[in-house]
Amino acid sequence: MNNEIDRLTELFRDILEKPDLILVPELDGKSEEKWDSFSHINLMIAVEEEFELTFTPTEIEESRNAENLVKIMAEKGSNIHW
Amino acid sequence: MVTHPSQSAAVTWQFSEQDQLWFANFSGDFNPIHVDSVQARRTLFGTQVVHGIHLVIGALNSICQNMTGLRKIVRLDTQFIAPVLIGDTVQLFVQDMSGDHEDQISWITNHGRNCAKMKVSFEQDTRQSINLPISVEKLVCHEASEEDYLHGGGSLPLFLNGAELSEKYPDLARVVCPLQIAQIIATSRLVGMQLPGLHSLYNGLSVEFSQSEPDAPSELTYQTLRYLPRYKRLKLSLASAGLTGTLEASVRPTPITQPKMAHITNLVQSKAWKSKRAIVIGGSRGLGEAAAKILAAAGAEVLITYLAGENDANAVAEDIRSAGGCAEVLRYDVLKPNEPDFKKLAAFGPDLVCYFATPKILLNTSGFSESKHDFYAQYFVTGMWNLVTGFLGANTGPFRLFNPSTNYIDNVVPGALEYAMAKADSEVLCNYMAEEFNNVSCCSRRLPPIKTDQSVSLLHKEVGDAVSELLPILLGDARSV
Repeated sequence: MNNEIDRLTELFRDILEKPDLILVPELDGKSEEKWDSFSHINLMIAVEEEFELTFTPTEIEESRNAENLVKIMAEKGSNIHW
Repeated sequence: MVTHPSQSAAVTWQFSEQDQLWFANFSGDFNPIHVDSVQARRTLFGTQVVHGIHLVIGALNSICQNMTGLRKIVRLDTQFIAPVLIGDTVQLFVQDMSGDHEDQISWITNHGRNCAKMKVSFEQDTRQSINLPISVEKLVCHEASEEDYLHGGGSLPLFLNGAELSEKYPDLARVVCPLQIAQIIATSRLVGMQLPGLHSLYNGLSVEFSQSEPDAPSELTYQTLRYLPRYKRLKLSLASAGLTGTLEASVRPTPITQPKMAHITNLVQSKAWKSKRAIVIGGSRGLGEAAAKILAAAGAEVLITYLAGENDANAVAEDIRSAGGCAEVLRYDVLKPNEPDFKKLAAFGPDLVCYFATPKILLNTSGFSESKHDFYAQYFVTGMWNLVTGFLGANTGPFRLFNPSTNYIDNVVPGALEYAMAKADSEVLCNYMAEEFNNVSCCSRRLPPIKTDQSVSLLHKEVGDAVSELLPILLGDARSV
C-alpha cells in the first residue's frame, strides 16, 4: 500500500471512530455500520480537504465503498492505489 | 483520536416533549424538527430530534457537578454525529468526573453508538457581573435561500434565563460564566431559526473564549465562511464578547411533495375506477397521497385516512376535489382503531383498500432486533389483519386489498432487515387472506425505493417517483375483482 492509502486510512479511522480500522477495497456501508450517510459526508469533505479534490454529487454517492472511492480519487489525479 | 472511556455512564437521559419545549424556550430555538411532532415526522428522522446544544448543556452540567469555585470555558469543541430522537435513552460518559481536571472529554451514546462528543477546557474565573435580558423577541423560523447560505451574515441578541437554568442545570449555573452559556445556547437559535434556519441540522461547534471587554455588545454575530452546495454543508464564523469560533451545519432535505391533481389527471386517461370506492390507509402524503390522486383521477370516490397529518390529508382531498374528484378524510390509527372511526370506514363500503400505513423506516442499525421486527409487524401485519377481518365482520362486501411491499425483501440493505421481514410477513398474510376469505382478493407488489419522505437522504440518490411506480399497478393489477 502507498502513503496515500495511509492518509486515507487515517481519515476513515478518525471519522468512523475506529482507531484500528484497516482500509481494504471491500469496506463499504454494509460491512461497516458506522459508515452511514452522515459519516459519509464528513468523510468526503475530509477527503476533499486532505487531498485537494472536488467530487461531483454522483461521485459522492458512488464512493460509498472503499474500492470505488480510491478509483475515483485516482481518476482525479491522486497518486493513490492499493 | 477519541477513544471510549472505561467508566460507567455518568448520566442516563431520556428527553421528553416537555424537555424539548423547555430548551426551545430557554434557547429560542423553536425549529419544528425539535418541537412540532407533525412537521418533524416529515423530516429525515421521522420524529422530533433533541437539540444538540441541549446535550452540550446537560453534559457541561454533569462535568461541573464536582467542581468548586467559578470557571470560565477556555475552549469548547463539539460534534453531533447522529441524531438523538425524542424518547431515546442516551448515556453520557465523562472522562473524569472528579472535578479536578480542567480538560474534559465526554461522549453521548445511543444504544452503544456515539451520537455526540465534546471536548471542553476550563480555567478559574472571577465572575464579572453581566446584564443579559432573560428573553428576547421570538424569531420566526427562517426558510433560507441558497443566496443566504452563500453570503449569510448578521447578529442575534443574547439572553439567558438564569432562574430556569439554576432550576434545571444547577451545577452549570453555579460554576460557569452566564455570558458563555448565553453564547453557547445562542448558536442553537442561530442554526435552528436563522441560518440554515428551517431546514437545518447542527453538525458541530468549535469556539475559543478570551477575556471579554466589559462593555462588549451582548450579541452573537455570524458570517458564512464556506458553503459546499454538493454537501449542503455550511461553515459559519462566530464572534461575540470574548468568543471567536466556527460552527458547521447542514441543510436538510425538504419534505417530498407529490404532483398536483391537475398533473396526475393528465397522466390518467382511464376511468377504470368509475363508480368504485377506494380507501387509502395512510393517504396524507407519499405513496398514499399519489395513490389517492391516481384513483380519484381514474374515477374512484376516495376516502383518505391519516394518523397525524390532518392538514396534509385535507390538502390532498382539497386538491382532488378542486380537479372534480371525490375525496373524504378520516383519522384512523391502524394500531389503535377506535369503534366510531372503524364504523365510518366500514360504512364507506370499499371496492379497494390500499394499505400504506407505515412508521418511519430508519435504516441505521445492523443485525436483527426482535423488537424492531415486532414494531414494523404491528403496522404491516397486525394492523392489516385487524382492518381486513374488521371489514369482513362488518359485511362490507367483496373488496381487493393492495399491499405495497418492498424489493428490500430480495435485496436486503443494512439496517432494513426487520422492515423487509415484516413486509415479507405482510405478503404471506395477504396470500393467506386471499385463500381463506371469499370476499377478499389481494395484490402485493414489491416496490423499489421511491421518492417520498421515507427515502430522503443527505446524499444524492436516484429513486423512482411515486406516480410512475403506482400508476400501472393501480390501473392494472389492483383493479377491482
